[in-house]
Amino acid sequence: MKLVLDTERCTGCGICELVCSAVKGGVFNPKMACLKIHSGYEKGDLVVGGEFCDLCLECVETCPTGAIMSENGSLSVDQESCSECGLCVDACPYGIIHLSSSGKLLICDRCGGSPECVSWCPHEAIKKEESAT
Amino acid sequence: MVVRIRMHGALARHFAGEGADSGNGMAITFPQKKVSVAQIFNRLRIPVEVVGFVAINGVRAAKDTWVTDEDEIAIFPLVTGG
Amino acid sequence: MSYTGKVLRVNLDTGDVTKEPLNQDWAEKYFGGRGLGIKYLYEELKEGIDPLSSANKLILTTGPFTGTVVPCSGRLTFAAKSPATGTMLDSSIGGRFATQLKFAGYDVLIIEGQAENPACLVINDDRVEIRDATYLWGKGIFETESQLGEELGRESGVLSIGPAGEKLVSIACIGSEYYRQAARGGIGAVMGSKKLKAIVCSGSKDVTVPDMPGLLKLVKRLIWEDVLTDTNLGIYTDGTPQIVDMSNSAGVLPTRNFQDGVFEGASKINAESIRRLKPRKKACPACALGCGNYIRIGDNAVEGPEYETLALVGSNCGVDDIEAIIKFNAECDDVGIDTISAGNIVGFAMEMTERGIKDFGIRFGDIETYLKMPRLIGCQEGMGEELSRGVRYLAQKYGGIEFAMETKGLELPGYDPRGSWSMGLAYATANRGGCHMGGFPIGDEAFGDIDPFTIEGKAKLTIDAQHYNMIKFSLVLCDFWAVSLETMSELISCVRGREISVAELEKAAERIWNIGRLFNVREGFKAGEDTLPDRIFKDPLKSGAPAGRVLPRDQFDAMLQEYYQLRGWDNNGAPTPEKLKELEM
Repeated sequence: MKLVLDTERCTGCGICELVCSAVKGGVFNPKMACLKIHSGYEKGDLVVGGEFCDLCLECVETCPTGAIMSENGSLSVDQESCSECGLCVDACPYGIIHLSSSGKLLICDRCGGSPECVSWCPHEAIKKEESAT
Repeated sequence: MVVRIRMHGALARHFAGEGADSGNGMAITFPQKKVSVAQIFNRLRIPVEVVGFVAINGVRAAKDTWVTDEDEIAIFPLVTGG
Repeated sequence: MSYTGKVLRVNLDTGDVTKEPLNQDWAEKYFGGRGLGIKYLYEELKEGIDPLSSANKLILTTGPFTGTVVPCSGRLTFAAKSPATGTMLDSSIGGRFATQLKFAGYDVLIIEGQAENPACLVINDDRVEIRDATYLWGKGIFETESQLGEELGRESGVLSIGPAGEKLVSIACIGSEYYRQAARGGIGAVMGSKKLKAIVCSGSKDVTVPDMPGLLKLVKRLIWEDVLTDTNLGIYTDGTPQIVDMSNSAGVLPTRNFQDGVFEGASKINAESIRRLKPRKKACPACALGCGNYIRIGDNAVEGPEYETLALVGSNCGVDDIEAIIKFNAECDDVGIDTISAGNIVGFAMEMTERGIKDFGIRFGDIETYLKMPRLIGCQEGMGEELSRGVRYLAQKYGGIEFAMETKGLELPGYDPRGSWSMGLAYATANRGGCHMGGFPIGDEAFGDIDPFTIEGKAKLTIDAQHYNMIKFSLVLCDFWAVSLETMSELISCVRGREISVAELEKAAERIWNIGRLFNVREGFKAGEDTLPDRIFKDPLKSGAPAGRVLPRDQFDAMLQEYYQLRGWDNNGAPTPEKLKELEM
């Protein structure tokens, strides 16, 4: 499943980031979200963009214990097998994998098929596209 | 009688297809010679709670004012300010 | 839990940076935002200080909802003593600074003293530095933000002043994210008097609540059932410009220095004329609505213009050219001045010129000269130096006092009290001067069902409106969500992990109002200053629903007396000891 940001609809409210860190990590912290939204002014002009997990699978390949798996178009984590080494955190090109303060690995798993970011966005700016992979 | 209705703010989105907030507003015909503002709300199925006030021909009017042929009605939502 | 429990205190005299515990008793009684800011201000300031001296403090407060997903909670409040009025001053701003401060681990930031050289305060979680900002001094807000964004990362929250704040202009504002401002009462001059050019904050810590699943469930329901509804969505579809047609239809749109309440050019500066410019929407953190309209026309860009700007800078100056208003707005945002006060000053100058009382070289609708005004005023160049002092000063020096539209020295916002008697009372009694954010009774009155032209029930209506805003702006929820007291109680109870009833909120609201009033009483303000300009009492409006009307002085006086009585204040408008005891103050 691909997640895509509609930059015309996105207002930059960041509710998606807050909800992601809340649901996955139990706290509000956009820097612990498994997605990133930018809506801000650069040299006075509005620039809107976002980064989502696009299944590059760097994390899967880097993980030494096989705790991160990919199947059916999304990732999943076996928290028991995770050794908290942090290699996946560094490997992620978007910086959207995190180790929470309690040692839980936070990764985009599409919330089991019903992404919270998609359902919470007040303006339907995050769309999911079912893909072949 | 025919009146023109303009919906303002978010009220317009309910009637987007009917041109209520563009150009000359939406024309509504009534068989009577005069109607009350309440009858207009009924006709358009507008819940009274979301309405702030109405203006008839550009001037704020009490909701029990009679509306007659060729009048222009503006319906404004309740707002908190800014 | 929801609060971080920490106050960051920075002393620019000594360079000391300290972290201290949040006063929990005050947090329980005043919550955050305006309430907590004014409480800290009242307790920490002595009476009679010079607002531009090192004795003034700049207090920045968040609230218990800041940093959570509670909708429309992403705003920051400033508190200080006002250089423009000498009263207490609370001013709020959108953008991301509030949430970054909370994520950095602080509920409150207090800035004391004055730096010797221009400084920039940089906060990164626990790391706090006072850096030299001499290289930024003199720059506009846009360039300052751009520079700091490049140096410190575009995700940080940035607050900065322009040349107006640096020059201590009494209508100077503080800007953030280019196009948001804390504007009224000279808050920017307080920052400038501290030689503080900018504050940059970035936070990476967690914000926690006692019942996360409960809060998420509650908020999800509220967003779809309570926020994204007809009542509130106008702010997303149109933004505040939707009020132009409302004010014009109600006959309260300030026109040509409040000479009338209906503007023939209103349809050129209303929501529709803004929509034609195809704005892009921008929201503050956690806001499900998104009021910001980003518009670019050639070299000028704004997030706006907001209603107040369209009214005071548009119809109030006899200007119906939306592009000219946008340009004026952008200039004000960059040089760092309040558009409400600027529009009033220019409108006053126009009327003085046309009446032949004093030639300021500008008439209503004179766009060419008008466009020069923001820089002249903000940079205090030429006649801008005098104009920058506000309409009270100008009228005292040159005349025209009957139509200097201010209360307590703060220029009036965009609703003519002759067309909304409750708004007259609200302006006269707002703690920071002529202000529409202290309470918005017009919402239920001229913009609602209640007869605007009677004093009956208006004292209570205004008090209720003031209390509603006080609690809302202390929990910190944005003006634009018409959230009920019951819902506010539900939210704060969930976030605090204990039942906080509507009654408790109402009592806190009254307490918050009274602490602001106490500050002013301590400074020597008397009942006579709870008043309005003579024009409101004597000059009838000419057009629309209030045509032929004034707000009669004797009726206003009766309304004010009833207001004092209902508030439990004495005849001089001072809170009585019994009232203070009742409010546990």
